[in-house]
Amino acid sequence: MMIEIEVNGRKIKTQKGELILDTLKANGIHVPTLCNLEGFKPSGACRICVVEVEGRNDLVPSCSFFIEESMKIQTHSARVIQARKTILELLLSNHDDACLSCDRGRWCKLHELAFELNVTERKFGRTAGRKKIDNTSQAIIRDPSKCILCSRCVRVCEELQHVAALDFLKRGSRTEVGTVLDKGLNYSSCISCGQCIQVCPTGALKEKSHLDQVGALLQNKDKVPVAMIDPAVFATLGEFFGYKAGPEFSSILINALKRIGFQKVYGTGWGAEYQAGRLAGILIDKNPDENDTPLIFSECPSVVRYISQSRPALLSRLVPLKPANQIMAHLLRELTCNQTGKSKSDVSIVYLTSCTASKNETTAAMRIKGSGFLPDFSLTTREVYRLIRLYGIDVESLNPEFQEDFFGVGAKSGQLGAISGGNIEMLTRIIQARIPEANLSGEKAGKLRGIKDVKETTCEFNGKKLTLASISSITQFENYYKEIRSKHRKVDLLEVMACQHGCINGGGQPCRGAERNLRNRMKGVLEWDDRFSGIMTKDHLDLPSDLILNDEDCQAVFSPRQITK
Amino acid sequence: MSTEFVDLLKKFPAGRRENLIPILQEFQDLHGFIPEPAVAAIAEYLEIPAVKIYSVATFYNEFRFNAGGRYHFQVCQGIGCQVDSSERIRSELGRLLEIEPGEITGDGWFSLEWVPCLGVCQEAPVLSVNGELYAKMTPVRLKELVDKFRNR
Ligand code: SF4
Ligand code: SF4
Ligand code: FES
Ligand code: FES
Repeated sequence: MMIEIEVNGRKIKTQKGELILDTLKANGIHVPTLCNLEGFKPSGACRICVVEVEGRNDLVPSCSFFIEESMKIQTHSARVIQARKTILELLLSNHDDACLSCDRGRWCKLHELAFELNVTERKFGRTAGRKKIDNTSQAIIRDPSKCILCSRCVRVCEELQHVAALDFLKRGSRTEVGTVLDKGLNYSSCISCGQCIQVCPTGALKEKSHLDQVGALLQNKDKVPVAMIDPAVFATLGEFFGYKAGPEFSSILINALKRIGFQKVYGTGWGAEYQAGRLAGILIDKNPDENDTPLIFSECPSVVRYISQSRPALLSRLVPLKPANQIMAHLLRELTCNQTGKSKSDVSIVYLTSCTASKNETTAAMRIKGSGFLPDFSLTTREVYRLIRLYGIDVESLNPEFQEDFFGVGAKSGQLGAISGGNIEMLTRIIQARIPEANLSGEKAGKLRGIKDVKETTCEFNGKKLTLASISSITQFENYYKEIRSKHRKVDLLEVMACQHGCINGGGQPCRGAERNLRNRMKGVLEWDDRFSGIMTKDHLDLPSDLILNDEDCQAVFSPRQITK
Repeated sequence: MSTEFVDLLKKFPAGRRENLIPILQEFQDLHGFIPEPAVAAIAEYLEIPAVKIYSVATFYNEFRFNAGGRYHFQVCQGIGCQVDSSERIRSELGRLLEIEPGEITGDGWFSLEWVPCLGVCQEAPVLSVNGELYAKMTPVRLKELVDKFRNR
């Protein structure tokens, strides 16, 4: 029902029962928030969003209060501003002071609010001592001293990812966010997706940095550093520099990385398309009556971790193919050895990725030297930005440099792997190239594109009809899986990605602005893909003659991982 | 899962989270603390994430994860008690038992812990020994209490 209310003396039309915050937002009135998380139930924990409602003695949190008829609201009265200021001062009293050396830098929401509310000094003395940093995970670091108990990470981990690695422990002034038995993330059900980093307003959560190691590598004259870039990084990094995602910025990025000292720079797209070709082979040979459906295809290390620790019964359904980055790490290492005459251990593959979970794998590589298929280091999109800054590269002055390397031009649709649904689209193109009379319902209708949780398509050939689906976020996966099982629906292949909408929303992406930029990132990936639209996807990709890739090389082996669930 | 865990858990219906507290209490009564592996066992049995079990268990002063002394002293650190100088009780107790919070005496008789509000602020300062409350503590009464346990 449309009603009229008054905000700051101005009449506003709105819906009865809408959240006050939503109405304010729709009318261009900015109220700060900390714990509020778009798309989730309001929690009302931080109170920074309070407003004054005429006739009430207390201030109300606008994120969790509903509009009522003839309400009169003050959003920036002296009382409200003072309350917000005090709330922030109290939060800061328990917050670590190490802001100068904090990795969150200018993306800290707390810092931004302190500026906005004109909080310029520590009003209340520190009450809490330094808390122990959780360093146990190879991907995610948690520093509880910086935590303001907003609960965003807890909610994302449980509600979006179905993982529930984090929760509030203890109570009162001792409350903290922690893991089961306080043993740290690596011991918990955490899948290293990094979605908690994305929503944390402070620097309490971050990735385990490889910047120092990569810095040392770049200075080491005996080594050949090779950069391998994930499509999601191509589609996102430009945001830091005010560039639109797309081929132009991608080539500038390649140029920048060469100036920093990477001898060779490649994308991972070729590997994605190559593996999609193998997947196509599996599907074409697949007997449609097999009742082991759905097969689960995932290039995502978080999904594999989730299944191997929380759903080991599903391990046998995972398509045993190595992810693109491993195929590429192997090939690029071989290729570079052939080209430079260096030994394998002197070639270092640095994987630039939006994925925090990839750190688990590269860290394993750091320990088991020369494990061939794994990159040596991985840098998140955020770290790549810092690397470019560290080396003083003025991106604006760089010209695009198009890549002439074999792996840069061979693949036609490999970039699509960065978005949820992309692998399926790649796959259907390859099936079409191999079986021209195959009938696809997906591609033209755009069924596999856009911001949707579940994307389904069908593919008919050789007298069989396959249903292919794509899904992102673990909660959606669990729900969808339950649904198709209970309804006995036959879905032949399920592509799963842990980060909602795919790697473009990965845990290593810029911490702010994902909501705003997600569509642009998606567009960037698709534009890149369109560049090749005149060129048909091939039915298979040929390897350069001096490289070998056996069947076993492409296969992955999965095993259960024991944790305390 | 050990048979002891199974026997204990089987007293309660599976998958019913409302039984979490009684289950935790049974474990605590049996061992004097909650054995770590019990957390995973309870989580599996009640079908709730393990961290939630830990979250609930750490919320209450009642539950512990390590064996304390035969007499486990919990001194209230809540605002009410602080106002009524629980600080003095704490330091006096430390002096009497010669241990700091978190520690246990060499003979295994006493352990000491500071806890958030025990919920009876009107009786401040308050402490509890093995879950039993002792109100309106003074240094004199404290000494009597410790002696009483020592001589048991
Ligand atoms: S990385 Fe993902 S799974 Fe791990 S704690 Fe954060 S949100 Fe949860
Ligand atoms: S770690 Fe960050 S997101 Fe999680 S509760 Fe603390 S401040 Fe909030
Ligand atoms: S944003 Fe409203 S209470 Fe935190
Ligand atoms: S403050 Fe001690 S009982 Fe409440």
